[in-house]
Amino acid sequence: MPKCNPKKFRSELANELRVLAEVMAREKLCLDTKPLREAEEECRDGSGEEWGYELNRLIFRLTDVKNPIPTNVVNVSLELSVKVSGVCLDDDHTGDPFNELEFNIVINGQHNNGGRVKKVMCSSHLDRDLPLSPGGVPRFMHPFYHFQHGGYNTWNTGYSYGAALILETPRIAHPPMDAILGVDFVLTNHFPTKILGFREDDDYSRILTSAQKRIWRPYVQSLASAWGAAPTVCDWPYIKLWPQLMP
Amino acid sequence: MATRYLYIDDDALDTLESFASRVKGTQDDFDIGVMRPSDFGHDVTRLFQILSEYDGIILDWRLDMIPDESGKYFSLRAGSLAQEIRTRQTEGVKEIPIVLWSTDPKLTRSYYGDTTSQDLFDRRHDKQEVIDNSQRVREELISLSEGYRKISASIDPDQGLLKTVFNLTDENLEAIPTSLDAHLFSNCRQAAHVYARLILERLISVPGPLISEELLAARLGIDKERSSAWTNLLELLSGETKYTGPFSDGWPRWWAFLVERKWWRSRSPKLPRLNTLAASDRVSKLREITGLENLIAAQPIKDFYSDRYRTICEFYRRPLDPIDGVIIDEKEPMPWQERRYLSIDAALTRRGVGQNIRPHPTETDRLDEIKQSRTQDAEV
Repeated sequence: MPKCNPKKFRSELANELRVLAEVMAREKLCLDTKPLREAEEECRDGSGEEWGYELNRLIFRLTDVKNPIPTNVVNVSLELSVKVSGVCLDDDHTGDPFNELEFNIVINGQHNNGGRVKKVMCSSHLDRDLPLSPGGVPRFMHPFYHFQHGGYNTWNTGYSYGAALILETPRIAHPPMDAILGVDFVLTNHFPTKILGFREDDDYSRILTSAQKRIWRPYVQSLASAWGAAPTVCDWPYIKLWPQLMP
Repeated sequence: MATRYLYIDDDALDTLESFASRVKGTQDDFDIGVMRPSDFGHDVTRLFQILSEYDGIILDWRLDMIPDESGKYFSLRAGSLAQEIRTRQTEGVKEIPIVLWSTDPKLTRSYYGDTTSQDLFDRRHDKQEVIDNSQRVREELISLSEGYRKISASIDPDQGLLKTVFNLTDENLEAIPTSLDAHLFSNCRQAAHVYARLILERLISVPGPLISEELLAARLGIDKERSSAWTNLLELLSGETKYTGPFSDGWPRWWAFLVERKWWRSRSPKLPRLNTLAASDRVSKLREITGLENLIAAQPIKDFYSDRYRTICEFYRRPLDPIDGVIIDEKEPMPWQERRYLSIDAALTRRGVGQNIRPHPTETDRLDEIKQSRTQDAEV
């Protein structure tokens, strides 16, 4: 049972999203921050003991794309979409911070091929496994939170992928991410380090630290418990997070 | 009762009357009285007494160019007179809209260079527009007056503008973003013309919580010109989503939040957000939900553009996915406003320059890269 004040929790989270929007606009990393503003409003308008929001296609323009295939691809844009919800929890909670997560990255581009411009695309997503029925066994052993290539954004496009083979596997363990962590993931993977100095500014570092503590600390603590280095009470069995770990 | 405007210009009376009769048309719900400055004796105090009988005022920019029969020139230009009107309105004189009618050459030297003067007028019409588009001008004038009446009736001396001005149910008030709420309903009473300007310039005229019919069609993925059932669809969703606040009759708008949340996603909890779906999928769902078969999905501007539309190209006025556009160069948006876009191909061919629609400076490098890529490919 959460001891925190849910309204205060949602308000603080909404404020963090607002700060994120302001930083993105100020640093000109993302000129159209409307999706963040809408997520902020949705988070603030929540009720009861839960929080939640949907970040809907936040678009980043990628200009420093290394070694793409096809080689002459231009107008590359990355869309981040995150739908997430959870229970408003105390700072010292040790369980799964989310009830629900849909996290998708879609990268679009245009490829000039013999005078014709064609769309090209790749996508990946961070999955949160759906709960199994009692006694149920997953088809493949995969981590509770995992990144994988492809997904419905890839399957339903009808694009031609040439000689590329795209499979759902492997499913790679990754800590859960909300919109704040997701944006930082995008920035640190797709933008040159030299323009990311703002990550040390007070406003951005404060919201990122808050998100990492709220979301990654229980995840890391759970994993650490596999080797005994964890709080006495850990609500999140590490074997669920990383089933490849030997007990 | 007819809406009455007073048109003041220093030009010949028959010229003024020709403009007035053009806009008045044959309607009984609208009337324009005309005056030259000499008709109120060049006396601003007397003008205010006359103005109390009217629901709006129209001014020519240069009231000091043509003398009266005695050779006397009016001492004020429209900007100064409008400022005096606004000042008196804050002191209790009935608040009415002020509209500017003028020709471009007159405005070029002094009006365009002074944004403080521009802030005084609710609307500006070029005199050629008054002749060519008189019905639209009339609709706007009537809507402005009616909007002012609504706003004035919704101002509480202690609380400022009341949220009832938007005619939203308590449940639907969440359609108003927090940032806009803080701006409009700040418990600090302001003059009606201040609220009017906020609502018309910063809420209605720019996409944000309110969207135009064009943008609504784009969000729904519909080619409204080719969809014979478009009007039927508008009727279906307007009951729950149409904006009925100030200026709504002159500038029809819809609450974007209510379209998405109250109308679209209430049809089924499994329906995803509109702009995650291709236009053809949106239209397919709409046909299913509404039973309206004659809805046609909008085609993208170029065949290699995406059809997950969220906005429109400001030049072509056609649906656009932001990934295929560049942000246009304009004043930084307020937190509740949305960016506006030009399609990449419109930007590359410099369309819209004549209408002052230009790519944002930060988009230049991206456009250069795309242009270079297409040029290189053509050379190969």
